[in-house]
Amino acid sequence: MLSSNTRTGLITLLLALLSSISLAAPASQSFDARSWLDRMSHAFKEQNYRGVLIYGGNQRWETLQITHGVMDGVEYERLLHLTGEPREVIRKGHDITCIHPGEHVIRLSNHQNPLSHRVGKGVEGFVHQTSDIDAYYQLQLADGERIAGRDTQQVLVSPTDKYRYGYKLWLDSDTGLLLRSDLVDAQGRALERFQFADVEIGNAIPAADFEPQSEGHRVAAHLAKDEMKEVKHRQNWQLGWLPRGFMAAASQVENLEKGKGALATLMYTDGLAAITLFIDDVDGETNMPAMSQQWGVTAAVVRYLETDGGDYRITVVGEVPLMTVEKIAASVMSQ
Amino acid sequence: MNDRTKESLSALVDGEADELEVRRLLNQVEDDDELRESWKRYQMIGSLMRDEPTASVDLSKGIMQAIEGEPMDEVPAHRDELVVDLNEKKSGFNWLGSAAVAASVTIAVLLGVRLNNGLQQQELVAEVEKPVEAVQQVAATNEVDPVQLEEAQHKLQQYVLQHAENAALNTGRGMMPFARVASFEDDASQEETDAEIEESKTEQQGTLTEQKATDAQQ
Repeated sequence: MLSSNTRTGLITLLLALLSSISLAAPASQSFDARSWLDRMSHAFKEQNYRGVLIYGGNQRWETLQITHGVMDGVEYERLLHLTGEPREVIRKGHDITCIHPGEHVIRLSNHQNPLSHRVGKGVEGFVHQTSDIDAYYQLQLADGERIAGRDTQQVLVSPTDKYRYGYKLWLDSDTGLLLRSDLVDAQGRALERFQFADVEIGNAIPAADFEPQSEGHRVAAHLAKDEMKEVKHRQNWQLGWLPRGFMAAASQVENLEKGKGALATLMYTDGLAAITLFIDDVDGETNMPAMSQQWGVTAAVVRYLETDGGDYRITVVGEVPLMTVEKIAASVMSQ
Repeated sequence: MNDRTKESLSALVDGEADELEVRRLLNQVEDDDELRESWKRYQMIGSLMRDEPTASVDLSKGIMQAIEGEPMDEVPAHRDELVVDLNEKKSGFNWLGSAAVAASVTIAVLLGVRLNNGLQQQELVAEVEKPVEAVQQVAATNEVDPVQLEEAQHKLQQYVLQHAENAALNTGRGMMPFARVASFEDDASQEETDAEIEESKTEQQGTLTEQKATDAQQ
């Protein structure tokens, strides 16, 4: 009698456990996938790596050499095109403790990271606001394959709406470095691919390797991240619509001298995709037609906005479906 | 593996190696383990674009393809889908009315540009839930000439380049976004490129607070 009761109890307990496990599985898998994205974000910034990267779009493919190193806490990076014209992009002196809002989105927790002490006030706000990447992307783990001679873990990132693309990411099992990235549309077709053909990770890279090799190299700059208030104050720009999860990541007001770049540049990210909004003062001259264009996965739209205070050109660029940038551009208002 | 062999391998994958080079490489690949490994990796370039599983790459097939100069890139061109709509005659609007319009439409098709002139904001907002094709209208294009259009496209490319720079820091993928703009940097004139370099140098010294901090350290 007693033993039978116990048995029934045990079976019930077992069943309860089983059902709770099966319910818990997707959530924990999402957490695991999330921690892989977290590793990816750290690896790209904090690891030394050097390799040959292949990039393919719809109509062409390119081969590039990428070199990345950290010396005395400062990032050095060089991108050299091995196909076509010799082109080179150099970035140096970027402090690895300078973490951008977009990186926060895919990182697990700001506080667990000892490097995050320098993060500015404005950025911390973003973290709490949008740390929930799984609200607009579904994250899943899948079997990896060997890439550039290394074992990988695959992470599937599928959008929960039609305003962004999906990603298949293959991360190095040891370091979390992204070794292959496919950007896929709603039908699951790969629209572009980045893949390392050959990579060496973790070896020290001498400073000389970050010196430019060609004369026509480009020194990369980027926007400061906390000028957003100023932009809003001076222009009263209103963005009527943004896809869910996109947040302001950087902004800049150029000097108001004519012909010196956009009047205002605002960048938005959901952690994986980036969208930039440029606002120019056209002052009557409209040498650029209102138009839309796509280069591979990059969509761009130009439109004009007439306000009481003058005419403005609105340009929106992003690695999202054309419909998304068009909708954003259409929603820009001045008040 | 020396640099020359690497170059040859790369040329082979590109279908640019001459016959002599191919034979030399084939012989070398036979009895050089390191080279064979590298060759497999370079081969992925081709399989990448053909969406083949990389494990099943057939060495000889790749070589034969390279020798015969078969295109490596067989992915259908999505851009065409976009521009095709320009050729579809929209109801009640005869956009071949003038030579200027015809020229600008032709160049727009070549450049993959869709002109949105005359498109009202309200229309866009209202129709945005429909597929993109639904809002396509080519109206009032007679104000755009081909030269203007090409200039406009270059200008737009500069914006895309600037976008890529910022995207590189915010999407957790390092400098990868820069690879995207490789194709049209060719189009931009050298003067433009020089100007940008100067500009970005100034920007770095001037407006960027982070840069200042780093400069101080150095």
